[in-house]
Amino acid sequence: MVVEVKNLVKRYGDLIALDHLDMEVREGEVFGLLGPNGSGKTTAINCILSLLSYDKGEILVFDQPMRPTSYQIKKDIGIIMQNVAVIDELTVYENIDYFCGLYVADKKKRAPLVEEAIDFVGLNDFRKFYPKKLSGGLLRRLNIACGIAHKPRLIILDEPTVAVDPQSRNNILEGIERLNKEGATIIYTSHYMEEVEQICSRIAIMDKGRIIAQGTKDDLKNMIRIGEKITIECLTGDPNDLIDAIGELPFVASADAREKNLLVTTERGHNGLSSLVQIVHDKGIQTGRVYCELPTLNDVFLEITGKELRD
Amino acid sequence: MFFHLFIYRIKSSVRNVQLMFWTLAFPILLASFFGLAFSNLNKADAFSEIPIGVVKTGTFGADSTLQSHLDAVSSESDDPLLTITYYSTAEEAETALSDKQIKGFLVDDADGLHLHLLSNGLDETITKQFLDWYLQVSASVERIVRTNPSGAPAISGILEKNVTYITEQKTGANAPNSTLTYYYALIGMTCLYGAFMGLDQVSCVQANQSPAGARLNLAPVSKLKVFACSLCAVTLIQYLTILLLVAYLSFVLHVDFGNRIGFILLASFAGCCAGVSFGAVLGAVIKKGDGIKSGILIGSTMTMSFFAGLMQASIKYAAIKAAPFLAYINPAEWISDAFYALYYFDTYDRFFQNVALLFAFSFVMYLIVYAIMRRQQYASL
Amino acid sequence: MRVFKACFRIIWKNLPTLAIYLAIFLFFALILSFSGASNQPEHYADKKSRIMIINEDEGGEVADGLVQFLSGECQIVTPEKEKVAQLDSLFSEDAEYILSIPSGFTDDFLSGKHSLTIGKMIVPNSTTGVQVDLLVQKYLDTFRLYAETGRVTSDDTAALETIRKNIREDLDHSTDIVWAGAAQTGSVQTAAYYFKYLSYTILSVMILGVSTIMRVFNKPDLRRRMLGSPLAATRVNLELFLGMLCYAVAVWAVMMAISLVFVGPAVADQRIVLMILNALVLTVTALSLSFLCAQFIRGPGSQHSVANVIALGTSFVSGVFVPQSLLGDTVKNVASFTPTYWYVTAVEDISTLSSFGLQNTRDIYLAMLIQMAFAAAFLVVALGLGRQKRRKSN
Ligand SMILES: Nc1ncnc2c1ncn2[C@@H]1O[C@H](COP(=O)(O)OP(=O)(O)O)[C@@H](O)[C@H]1O
Ligand SMILES: [Mg+2]
Repeated sequence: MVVEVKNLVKRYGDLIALDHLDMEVREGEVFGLLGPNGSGKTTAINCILSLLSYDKGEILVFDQPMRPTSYQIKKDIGIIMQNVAVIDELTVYENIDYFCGLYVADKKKRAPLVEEAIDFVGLNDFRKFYPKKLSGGLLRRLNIACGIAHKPRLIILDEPTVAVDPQSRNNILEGIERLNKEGATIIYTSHYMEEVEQICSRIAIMDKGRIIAQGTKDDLKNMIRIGEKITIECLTGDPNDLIDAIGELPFVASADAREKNLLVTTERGHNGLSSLVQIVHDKGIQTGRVYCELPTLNDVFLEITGKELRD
Repeated sequence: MFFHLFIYRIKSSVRNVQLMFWTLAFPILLASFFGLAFSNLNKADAFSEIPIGVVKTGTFGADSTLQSHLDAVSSESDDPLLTITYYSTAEEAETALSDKQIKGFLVDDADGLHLHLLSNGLDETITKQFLDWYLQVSASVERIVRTNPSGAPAISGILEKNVTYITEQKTGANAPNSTLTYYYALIGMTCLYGAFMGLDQVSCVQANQSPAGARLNLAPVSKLKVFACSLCAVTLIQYLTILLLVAYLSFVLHVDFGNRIGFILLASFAGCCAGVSFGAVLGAVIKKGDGIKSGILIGSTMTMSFFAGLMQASIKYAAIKAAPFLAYINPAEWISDAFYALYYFDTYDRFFQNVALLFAFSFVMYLIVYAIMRRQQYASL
Repeated sequence: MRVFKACFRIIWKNLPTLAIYLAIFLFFALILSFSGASNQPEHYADKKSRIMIINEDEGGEVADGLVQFLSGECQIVTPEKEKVAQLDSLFSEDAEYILSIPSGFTDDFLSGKHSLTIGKMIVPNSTTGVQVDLLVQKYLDTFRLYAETGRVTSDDTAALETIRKNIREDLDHSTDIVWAGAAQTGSVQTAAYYFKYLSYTILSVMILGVSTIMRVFNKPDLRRRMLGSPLAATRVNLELFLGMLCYAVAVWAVMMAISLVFVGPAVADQRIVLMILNALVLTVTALSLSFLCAQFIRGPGSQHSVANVIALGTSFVSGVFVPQSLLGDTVKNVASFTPTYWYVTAVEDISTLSSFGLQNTRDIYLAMLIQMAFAAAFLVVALGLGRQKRRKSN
């Protein structure tokens, strides 16, 4: 087990930021921590890193208790914080070299590592640039390079893609997958479910300082009642007339109408698309577009907490 | 590792061009202003003749002693004190006075000598004292003529003879010079403003003050170690700044520091340590708010410099006289006093007392910083 | 008025910092005007010099007479035995003049040889030194006059007693002073000092305060947001200036309130009204100047540097800390390119003002006008620079 968190409680005054949090991260996985803003992701990460003091609980990293002075453990961790943490007066190269130097004292050993990190984030053309001259996306990449240059076994990324253009975002996500392939365990926090779904092998969903569900994304989707979301556009007639009839079907979880669209969610394990379309046609209504979506993590979140993941 | 941290800290400090420029330029510019302001004060020929009016009334011409007294110090004499303009009426003199053509005018009428003045300055005082002396000598001469007529013929001979009653003795290693107080206080202030560098170093390693600080806290290095390296680096930079200032003062403005160079270097170093450590404490104690941090730093540094005599040298002495403990709690005073002691005394007691106070101060400041920063975990970020 | 309102919010948020600056620099002005620091050479006439006398010729009539005379004219400091302690008290200006009379001085003096001299230790070029020298010279010259005309020898105690008495009477004479125009009452004098030192306070508080506020406005993202707003650049700057003007007036009001409390007795006088007006003019000028400075100030390091160089530096060359009468002509010419110089000139003119006709006050109003001209010039340059910078960042 790479990280083990048991019963972690963290309070900020009256606010309970982490409420008996339990979490496990296994060797070699990409572990996603998904939750809306303010759910306690950053706090959890900072506690794991022993940066923040906590009120209760136990934290093991690489099977050893994590303390502020556990330098042996810290050597193997790479952190990319939510805020860009670089030194304005140092160039791209120097920044990476400086932070890497805190982990690898030997200059000869360090130089190839720094080169590799620059290559990795694709900042080769910018190595002499000062951070002020970099665009937001490039700055984020530099931030990442500073965190991973020393080849850590565990890499923690806290919302590395916030306010980043799509191109840099893809670059970053691909990079994370590559790092994982090279053997690093990854903890990735985000409030974008698409990202988490895309790269994480296991996901924990957080809300109000608690993990409300965890597992692979299929596990998570299997937890909830709904199977598919079907939308049928009714070109003639009023979809409202159909709601009652459809709602009584055994495989339908809910039916609703919005403007010209009929929205139906089915129960998991049933596929009723063709029978639904049949019913609509039977009522003499012409259909336009018909489509069918699989549930997302947002639906999972919605069903458990009753609110949307993103506000 | 030390070297790595040290070099990068130096690099990142020196590259902050704007800060470096001002760090260097501000004491040098201020010193130049001081030099300008004092340029006249220290010149031997600073004194210029005082324009004085004399109203020629009936009685005046008759009194030839006053006339000859005035002649003796007027422009035509060897050692001129006054430039005298004669007026026939008091009204004319009055107009000249209010137009500031003259500093005052003299009327000698039936009930004695009157000096009409507009304000109460140095020139006016000198004029008055000159006239006082004339009156006093006249009184003595008159008494001798009255009571001891046989001595009268000798009088003018005795008065003309110049006797030296006083010889000046050497004071300390060098002559006291109050303008030095300003320059030494300036050095004190510049050292203390090194506090900004100390302040920065704290926020660079405290996770709750900067993102880079957070990153440092996660590295497998004690942040106190990083902090110590940073402090060494900025103290060195600050030290070089101070040495440059001292060199400028000494070689360009010809400010006298005495000639014990080793000790001058020591005093400068002690001052730098005190300044940087002072900033470190402020940074460690006050967590948030750049504005309030620099407000407190600037406010306290200016106050300390003020009592060390930066704006007015006499404040330094007046304050210490009114409250002697002030000499023991004011780092700016220690720094400027160390330089003064070095310049002024043959002995080292006072110098070492100040330097010891400075080092002790830095030590205590760093103890406080250590006590605060030793905690490796934060309750909140 | 969005920028104006934002400006106000920032002032409100930074109130503690601004209050620190105002309190400290005002405190300086008060201490300086009341501490007797005003006993600069300019006014040494009113002050008794502190001297230390080490008399090794006790019992000698000349020596004792001199000591007695000096005791009346000066403030005597308890003599120290040790040389280091003597030096120390000279250094700390506890004693400004140390006078040591060698043993046998009286005999030597009366014999007419004058081979023994009185030793003195002083701070070079000090006015105290000149004054005490003069007193000693006066006393001994007069003594010599009586002794030589009367052929008095050192054993003729009765005659020496008489001489001592006569000299005391003679040296009591002094010139009668007639004050032309308005007498400089103590309160006007103190007020003049207070207002002179206030120029340092005004400049410091304005530069530090305005740069504290502007620092928030100069933050890149805020700048960008303001640029993105439909407000014209000049409009933004003008609203900013207006916001700062409120700050300036508040600062001025506090300083004037304090002045009314501390130099209160003289308030009825029209001169104080002129001084208050003069201070307002300088405050506005300082505001313009601060606005200009803020274009160069990025961090706290440069903030205090700029404030110090401008406020302290110009105060020194303009006659705030070193009286204008002691500045050289070159320095004064240089200083006349600063508003502070004209402010101080106006204060000095006001304090010696005898009547308030245009004839007499012309120079004062002129000095104020010159300050306003500086204000306008600073503002124009600041706005120009601001626009240029904006163009560059676009
Ligand atoms: N320093 C702090 N002081 C008080 N409350 C805080 C502090 N930092 C975070 N919080 C609160 O703790 C909760 C969790 O915050 P955080 O861990 O930053 O959430 P996330 O990273 O998931 O967006 C939020 O409600 C936030 O308001
Ligand atoms: Mg967060």
